[in-house]
Amino acid sequence: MDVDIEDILAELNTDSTAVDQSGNPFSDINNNNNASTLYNESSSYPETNLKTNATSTSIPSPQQDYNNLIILWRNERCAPELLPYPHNLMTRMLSRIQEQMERLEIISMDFLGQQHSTTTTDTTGNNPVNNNNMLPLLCMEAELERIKFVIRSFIRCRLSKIDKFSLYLRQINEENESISPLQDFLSKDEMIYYESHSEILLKLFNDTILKHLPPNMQAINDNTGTVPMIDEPDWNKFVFIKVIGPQNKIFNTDPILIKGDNGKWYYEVIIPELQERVELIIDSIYVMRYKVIKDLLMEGKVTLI
Amino acid sequence: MYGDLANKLVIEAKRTAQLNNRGNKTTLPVHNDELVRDIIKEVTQLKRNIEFFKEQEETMNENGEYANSRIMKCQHFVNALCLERNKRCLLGYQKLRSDMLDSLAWENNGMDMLGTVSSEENSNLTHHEQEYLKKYSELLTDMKSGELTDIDLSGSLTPPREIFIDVRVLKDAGEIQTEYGVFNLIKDSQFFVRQSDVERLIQQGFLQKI
Repeated sequence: MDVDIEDILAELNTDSTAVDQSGNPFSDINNNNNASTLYNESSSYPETNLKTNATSTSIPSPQQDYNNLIILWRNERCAPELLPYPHNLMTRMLSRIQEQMERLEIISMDFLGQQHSTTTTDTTGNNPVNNNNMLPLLCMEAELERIKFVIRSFIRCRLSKIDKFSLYLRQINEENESISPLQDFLSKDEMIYYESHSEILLKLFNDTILKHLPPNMQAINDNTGTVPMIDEPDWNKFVFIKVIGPQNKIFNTDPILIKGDNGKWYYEVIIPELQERVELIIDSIYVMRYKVIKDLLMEGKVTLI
Repeated sequence: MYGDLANKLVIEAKRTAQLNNRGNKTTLPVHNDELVRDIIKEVTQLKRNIEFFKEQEETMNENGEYANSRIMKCQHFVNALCLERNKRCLLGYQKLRSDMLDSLAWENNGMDMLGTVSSEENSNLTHHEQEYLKKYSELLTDMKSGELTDIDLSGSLTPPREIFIDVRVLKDAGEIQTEYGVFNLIKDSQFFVRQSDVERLIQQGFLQKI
């Protein structure tokens, strides 16, 4: 295979250049049953599609996906509760990683072959030109490692939250099964993890402690006592937020967006404790209690930082 | 006094947690079987007390001794509180231990947990905890082999800086095969290798990053 440095650099650009085309990171969740939106090819993706990408139903570009992943990762790390799992985005990300790994393998094999041929003809062996050719490859590998790290950190963060709130998740699942089924909230693997972990943990508790207690004290999710046994996420946690605004940047279309006297657009939220109205001006940064901005976060109109 | 034993257990758990926060290596102390059994005995005693007080209260109510009945009610209430507290303490203790087992399973990367851990640490675990650890390690292995294989979930949680790193070999580990050839890991030698290739060996303590 003939590898040109231009090709490698071009590929590098499509994957890592941060063009701010950020759509709503949660829009992905709404249409996760639509398998046709799934996007499988990354290399031949035309640049022109970026412009026609304003609607959320069309296929997001790799840049958009990457930006969204970073936003979701940051949200997940900062939010006290478990956020919905981006099914489509993750499928696309994973398949792209796979492709990129395969491509890297092919390229590096090519390099090894080259190195081999140069060492046989050239007795000095270590050819500096050859090493320079390796540079883009190294960049691509570094980039791949970074994306893997982000995903790893994202999943691990979610798993730790699943462990922490396993009883709470079960409670909300039982209470309103029809509204937000857990299957949409978690990925398939996370669901398996959640179920089997709570099962073996309960078994441990049962075997060591609970079965020795009187029968009316054996419940693990007893909220009737003096202290509730189910840990809820800390809704009052303070978070830093940045106001993004509607994803298409057309401010008139967002019904809850208000235009101020000075021509600035803002969202209005009410802090219940203080009975105070706060204007969240677009592109500014605030510190708020999580529950105040929860709805805006779910709609992707603010992000946590 | 009721609740004293449970207090002891909680203090012990707290000490363990603090010790683990200070050092970076997770060490699990011996499961305090005796204390747990004593607390459970206390719980049974409390349960009997409660039943007794309840009976007394009812007979007193029937006889019209309302003042005494109120005293009984108070005793009943205090006993019930102790019972609940004991339960919480026991569960808290066990939860801390299971959390530590979880992190142990993550750190050891699911690799033959029973082989390496059994000799030194398994004596500190109860039979049920061993079973739990085994099951959890299996679960982690399953998780990692799903669609997330490429990500290597148990990999390093610090952002990668460079792909190639210098490592020093701490223990003889024989030969390893990587994309760039075969390395023979002899103690005290140094290599310049790809981080993702040797991640596992660093976690297992064969290599040290320099």
